[in-house]
Amino acid sequence: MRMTTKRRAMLQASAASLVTAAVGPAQAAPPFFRLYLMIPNNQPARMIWGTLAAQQMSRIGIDVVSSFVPFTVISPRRSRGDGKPHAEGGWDAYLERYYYNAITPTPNSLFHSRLAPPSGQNFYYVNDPQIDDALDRLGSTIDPAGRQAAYRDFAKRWYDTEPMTILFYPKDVIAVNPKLRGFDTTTFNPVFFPNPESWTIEGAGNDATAAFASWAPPMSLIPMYSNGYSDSNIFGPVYNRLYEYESWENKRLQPGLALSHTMSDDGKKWVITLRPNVRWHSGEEFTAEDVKFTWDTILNKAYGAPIQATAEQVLGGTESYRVTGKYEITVELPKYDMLFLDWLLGAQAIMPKHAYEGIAPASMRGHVASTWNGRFQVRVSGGRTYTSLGGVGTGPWIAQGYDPQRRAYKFVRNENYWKPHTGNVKTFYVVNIQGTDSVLSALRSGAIDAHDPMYDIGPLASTIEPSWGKVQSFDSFKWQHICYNLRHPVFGTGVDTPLGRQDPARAAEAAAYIRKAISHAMPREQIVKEIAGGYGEEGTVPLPFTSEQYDHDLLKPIAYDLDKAREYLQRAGYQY
Amino acid sequence: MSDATLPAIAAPRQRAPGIWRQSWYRFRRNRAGLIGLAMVTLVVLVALLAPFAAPFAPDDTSAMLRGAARRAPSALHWLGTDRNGYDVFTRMIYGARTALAVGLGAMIIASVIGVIIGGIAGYAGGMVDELLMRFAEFFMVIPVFVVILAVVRLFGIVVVGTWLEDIPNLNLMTIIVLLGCFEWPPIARMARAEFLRLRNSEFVEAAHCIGSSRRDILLRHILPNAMPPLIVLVALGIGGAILAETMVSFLGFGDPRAVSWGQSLYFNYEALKVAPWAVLSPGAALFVTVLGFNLLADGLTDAFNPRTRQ
Repeated sequence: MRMTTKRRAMLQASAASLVTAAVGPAQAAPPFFRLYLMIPNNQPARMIWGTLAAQQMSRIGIDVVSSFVPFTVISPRRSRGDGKPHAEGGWDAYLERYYYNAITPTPNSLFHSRLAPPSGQNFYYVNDPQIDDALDRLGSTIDPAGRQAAYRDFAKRWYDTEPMTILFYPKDVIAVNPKLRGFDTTTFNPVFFPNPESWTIEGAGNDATAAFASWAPPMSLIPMYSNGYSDSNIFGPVYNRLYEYESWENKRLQPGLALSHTMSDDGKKWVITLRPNVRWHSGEEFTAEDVKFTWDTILNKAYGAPIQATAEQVLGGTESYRVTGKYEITVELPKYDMLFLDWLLGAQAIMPKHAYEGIAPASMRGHVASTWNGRFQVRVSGGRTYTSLGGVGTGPWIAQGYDPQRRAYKFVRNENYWKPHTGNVKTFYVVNIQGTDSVLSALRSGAIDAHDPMYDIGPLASTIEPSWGKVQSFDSFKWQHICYNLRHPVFGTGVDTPLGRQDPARAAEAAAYIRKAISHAMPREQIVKEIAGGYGEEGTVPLPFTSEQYDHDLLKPIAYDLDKAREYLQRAGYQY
Repeated sequence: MSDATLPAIAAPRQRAPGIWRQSWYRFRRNRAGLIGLAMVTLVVLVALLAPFAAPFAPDDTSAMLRGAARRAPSALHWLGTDRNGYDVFTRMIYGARTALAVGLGAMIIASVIGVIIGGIAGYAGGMVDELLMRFAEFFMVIPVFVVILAVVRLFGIVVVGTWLEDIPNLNLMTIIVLLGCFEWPPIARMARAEFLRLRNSEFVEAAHCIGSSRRDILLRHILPNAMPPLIVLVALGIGGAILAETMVSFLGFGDPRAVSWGQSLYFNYEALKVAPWAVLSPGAALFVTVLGFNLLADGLTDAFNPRTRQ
């Protein structure tokens, strides 16, 4: 049969369409790709902006499958360390509040490509040579100007490629008992926590009792295992660090268990002189052996400390430090690293060798020192024993165990503390209370005197009456973000984007376009104003907004612009 | 026989009103039942007319984008806006669809399972009856709520990457199916009791005598007569299922893409003092719906079985 011209034309057109569909051009129709967004279900406010974020992504053509899940679902997915996408048991994207483990921003402890899980905390697989370079310089430059330049390079590269969508920088809003004096800091894991040694409750005499509310129960109360506020709120008052911060206001390091230190010109050799006559709660004397024990334990992979990789990056190994006197420890770093002072000396609590040395690595997390549930005997020199009801530290407060009925952790004042208490609180409780409404009710009834900033009471601040609550706000040094699995073939590596398929050399560029598209689809101003009650600033990069490292000239707010968002997706090869 | 009775015998035979008509006569005299019916009718109408009655799309967050979240009721937003920037009135209207879908869906599943199992147990008796009733009791002691939370979580993992994922509102569907699968035992027990009672009744024996098949006896004679008490249970169950879904959503395990009163309550309860309308409206809608079904069930009980009232 002879084929008519019309039929032939149709067949040719069909064949052409097939070929086009198979090999190019680099186009796709919406929905362009599927993204699984996990929204932690523990904070209604975050669930609201998470839902909003999902809707906004849908508006630019992304098929978003959002789910409300507890963080216990997110955590194992992201910690597997294989970078698989959600559909294969890993993850695509989730929402998170984040901050550094030191007041000086330490992005080099989080975003360097060599810090991938399980030993590191680069759960997002940020793997960008320019970012790595900036982080290396940032960490190893002694010269303040050079370090500031490295911060700027890091911020600029981040701003250009947006490995995460930084939504906003929240402010910490805390309501306290109006009779409470001396509460002048927010909490900040792991270096600022409730410091009731400086609290005074008016009219309570010299034997006051105070209570502090913390949202979630802790995972572990051994400092090196700390995963967040819920842990450090409790173990923080028990321990000390070598250097501590003077105040939230000036955020300056001052001697803690260390008296002073010297540093060589190249920043590699440090000699740290320790404070003499400091005693552990057990009565044993604090010495340089305790510092060595703490670092040895952190570096020992058998203990599974999540900070192991960062500590190894800083110290190199256990051979880099040695006890050179009863109160002196000498350190030879492989290279200068800012994290040594700002993080290892300034943020990591020192643990007692005499009390924890005998605990096997596998038992550490379940030990009474970690749970405060029960009691254990500590052998002290001179043949004595000390019965501990929780962690053993040198800090201003002595652990008195956990009361499961009241969901409260009890502390009593350490009368032998090396720094005098300035307040009138002698007994202190940290109580687990879940829910913003509940914590405000507790404050109103007088059951607590202050609370953790995690309650996000900002939107309800206007409902607090001066008779029962005084509202205080602090710069938080935190940020809220949508984080992506940067090994995802679409918005991570970009190999499965139209542009990436067409030109594999431009795959990473395509992925960055997608992330920038999502970023421009986020109404940050409205999120701050409408959901966070106005307590916050629009987000750009993972550096605290009020820190001196934040370059306000460079980091202008990212505009909410859906047209621009679609334009970025088009650059990645997607067509509307 | 007296003379007075003669005319009645001579009169043409009138068919006595059936059980349904008699029940309707009685139901009409039950004020609470009628109020319940009116409430349920209102909810059903609202659900059916939602696209026409709602002033905004259910996922419209434009109020948030123009800085008008948590705004008090106004001419534009009759019941105000909530923390998400949703129009509260719109979400309340669309929430009726979800509530009815959950209530009706769950109870349809429960009824089908319950009537089949209860009917077989009641009609067959003996060992079959024993086994099926123990099976029903097994389901009654399982904490439904915990199972729903666990299965919703598990299902959220299992379906990833499969065709099931494309089912709209899969989380909600899962909740409906689970509620249906755990709410059938009371219906089965009631069905069993009714089948047991009716299988020895005269009209069933008569049906046997005229050679009716077992299927006919079950479906045409026993089942219609067993329905009244089952309908009461189903009406009560609808309210319970709606509350169960609300509780799951209120705990943060609901379907992010569904419009649910429970979810509205969850997102807004902390702002009760700041934007009470965002909580009171879904709360009121939930109250009206559940109360409506309960009053309706109460009225149906009186209508189908007036002796219980006496």
